[in-house]
Amino acid sequence: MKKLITTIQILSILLVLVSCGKDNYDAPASQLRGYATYNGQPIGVRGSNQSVYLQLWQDGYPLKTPINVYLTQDGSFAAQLFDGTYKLVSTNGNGPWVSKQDTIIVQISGNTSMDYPVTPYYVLQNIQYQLDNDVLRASFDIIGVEESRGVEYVSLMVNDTKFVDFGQQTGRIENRDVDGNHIVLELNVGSQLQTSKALFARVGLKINGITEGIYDPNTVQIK
Amino acid sequence: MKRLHKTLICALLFFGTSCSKFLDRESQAILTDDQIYSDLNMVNSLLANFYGRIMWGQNITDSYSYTLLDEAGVSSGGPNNLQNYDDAQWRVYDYTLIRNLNQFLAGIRSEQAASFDPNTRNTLEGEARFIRAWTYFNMCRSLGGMPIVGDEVFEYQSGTDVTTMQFPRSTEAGLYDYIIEECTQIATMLPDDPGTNTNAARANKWAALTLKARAALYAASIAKYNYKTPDVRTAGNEVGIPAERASEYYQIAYDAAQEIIVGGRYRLHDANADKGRNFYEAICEKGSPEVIWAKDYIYPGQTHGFTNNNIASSVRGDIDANIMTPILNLVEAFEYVNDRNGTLKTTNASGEYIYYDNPEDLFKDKDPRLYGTVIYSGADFRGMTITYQAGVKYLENGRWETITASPGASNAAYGGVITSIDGPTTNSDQYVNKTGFNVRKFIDENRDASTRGRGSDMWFVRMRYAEVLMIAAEAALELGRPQSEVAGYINQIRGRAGIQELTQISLQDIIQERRVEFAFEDHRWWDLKRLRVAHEIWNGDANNYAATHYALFPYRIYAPGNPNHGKWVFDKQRASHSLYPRNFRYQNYYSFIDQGWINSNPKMVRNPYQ
Repeated sequence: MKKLITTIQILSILLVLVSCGKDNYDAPASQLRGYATYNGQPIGVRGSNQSVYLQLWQDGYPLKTPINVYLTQDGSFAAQLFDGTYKLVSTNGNGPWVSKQDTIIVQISGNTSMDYPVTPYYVLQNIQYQLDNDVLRASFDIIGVEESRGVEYVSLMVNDTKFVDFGQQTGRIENRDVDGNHIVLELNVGSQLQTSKALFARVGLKINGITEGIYDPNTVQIK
Repeated sequence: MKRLHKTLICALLFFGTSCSKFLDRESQAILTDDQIYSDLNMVNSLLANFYGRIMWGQNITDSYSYTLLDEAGVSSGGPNNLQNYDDAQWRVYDYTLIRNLNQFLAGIRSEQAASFDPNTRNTLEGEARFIRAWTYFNMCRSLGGMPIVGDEVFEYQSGTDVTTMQFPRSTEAGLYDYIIEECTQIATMLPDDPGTNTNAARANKWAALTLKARAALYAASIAKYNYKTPDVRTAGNEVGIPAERASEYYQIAYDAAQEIIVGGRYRLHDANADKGRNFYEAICEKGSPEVIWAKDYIYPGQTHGFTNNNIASSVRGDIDANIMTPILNLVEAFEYVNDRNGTLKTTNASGEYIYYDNPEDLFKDKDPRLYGTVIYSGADFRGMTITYQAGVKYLENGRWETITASPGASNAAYGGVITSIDGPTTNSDQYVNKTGFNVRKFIDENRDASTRGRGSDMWFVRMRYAEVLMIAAEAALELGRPQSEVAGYINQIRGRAGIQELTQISLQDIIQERRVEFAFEDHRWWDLKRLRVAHEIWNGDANNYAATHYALFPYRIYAPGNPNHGKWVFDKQRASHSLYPRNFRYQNYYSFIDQGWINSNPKMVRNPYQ
């Protein structure tokens, strides 16, 4: 009898030790990285608030739910995935670029790097910031790429964190009558310089009819 | 041997008889169709079930729903970090209910209900169809055009071809047309005497006409203003209405509103000379002559926690209070009796404090509807004066310094109470006021209603005569009718409210009037959406007053010998517990179509931006 109990005990311990493992997946190990680019240059977007995203879809499963891949403000994105074939798409009217229905097939095996080319309505070039005492001056050129949408306004913003955009800022100036392609914006940042421990600046361009704008891919620390 | 024989016979008899119909019994728990549709009590309780399943959008059973817009902020516990509206915000997709209603309609129209007199049958059918139209309306305003399934009750059996049950989405205009057409018919089926309708809880002819007017107005304003959001459309017009249909819809809304006005069954409640009190009674007292349709509650049995959740601390009956509290933005939206700019005057032109003898003096000459909607400092509730006091300001080296304490604490060195038990404070304690106001509309004045155990039986008003007047005004304005007529409708409302009348009305005035008249009544979100201004007002900019929540912090002055000793000053400041500005994105104009719905019905197309 005692022998039997011992045997049962050993058997059940063995069972506990071996039984798991078959039905568990490994965690996704491959990383997809890239930028939303135009002519190879990354596009600056709003990085806070889960504002701009791409979507990954995978065929072959009965239920379909996209994986949202959020862009940070320098235009980069990253996702941790299983190996396999995915489709990368943007959603209409989400990013500051012409919505297109083309699907990009992404083959993931191990860490993969892949850019997502887009056609922005405008690009900002020759962006320069200059701090003159309390006055922050920014200048840049607007290059129209696909001018089917007008410019709602251009704006210079500052914030006390590295995230600077239309929603996250402690000071901004905007110009709604954009005339010509060379833009100069001046913002008095005297009070922000006094109260903030650090200050970051960025310019952005808001396009008509789209929630998101195009930004400088970099923020510049001015304090 | 003989005994064995007997036993055998007994056993045989036992097996031969005992099991009869054992598996064939009628259930005591399931009622059959003919049991239900032949008994009026059964039918009424079925109908009551439908009435209980249609609470959607912002409403008093969901206090947090009021903190999402620009009416109130969260006040209990930690800060609210809402940054974006959900892609499924207030969407309604209830084809289960529509199927149940169609089953009901089939039952009422069948032979089983033949014992009812034709009038009763007609009314029952009308009510069920009204609830169905209301359901479609709630779907349409949150999602755009959705499949119209008609009266058919779909049954699935193994082998049924499911594609015959998959309906494509209707156009947005098509669904509004269906609702309008249904309401036109329903109005002829339902009783027109509001006197027999206890607490306006059941739909009658006038509720059907109000829904018709409202649906037509929504369709009209979308048709007229969706040029402002050219991308908020789908190729098949599931979202978006062609501009040329605007005037047709405005005319329908105008005519339906006129029918209710001429019908004369409802009027604005104007019985109390105290205008603020009168406004509270107009909405919150059951039996008010202007309420057309409400969700009614009754104690015991059917109660809700709105009063318990949102009452001011000093008059609460339980531990809960201040779950959501109104914000300064709403208070300032109320005009002054003779000044259209409602901004509270806390400082003079040179930026110095204005000193008030009493806290309520700041609100002197405000629109009396403010009293009926919001409890402000110095206002009374249930016979008690509610005083909000964030702290004490005292002079030090010629400058005003501030001291605050925990709610209810006092200190003789500062002349008594430092921070009122009613707040406001900026800490993250539960049930403590953070904005300096409490809500009054829909708060029950019954003492026991603020306890958890009992709850409140305050109703939730869905439709009232003031809305009919506002629909008439807006439709008249858009149809280009004379300003005198447009102003006439609005001035009835403003006159009842007790503020100056207007002669020139713009759409902006209508948005403004609706905001204050219908605060907390689930209109604001849908109004800003249908007029396509939501993305301009709630633009996600932290420096935009309209998008950001503000609080009002009153302070008592303690400076013996100073002429301002004992007076009150007020600070306007960003609400500490609404961290982010309201950010309405283009995609929020229509909630997203759930991927699960598309999986089961591939004919369903996605909404814009999805």
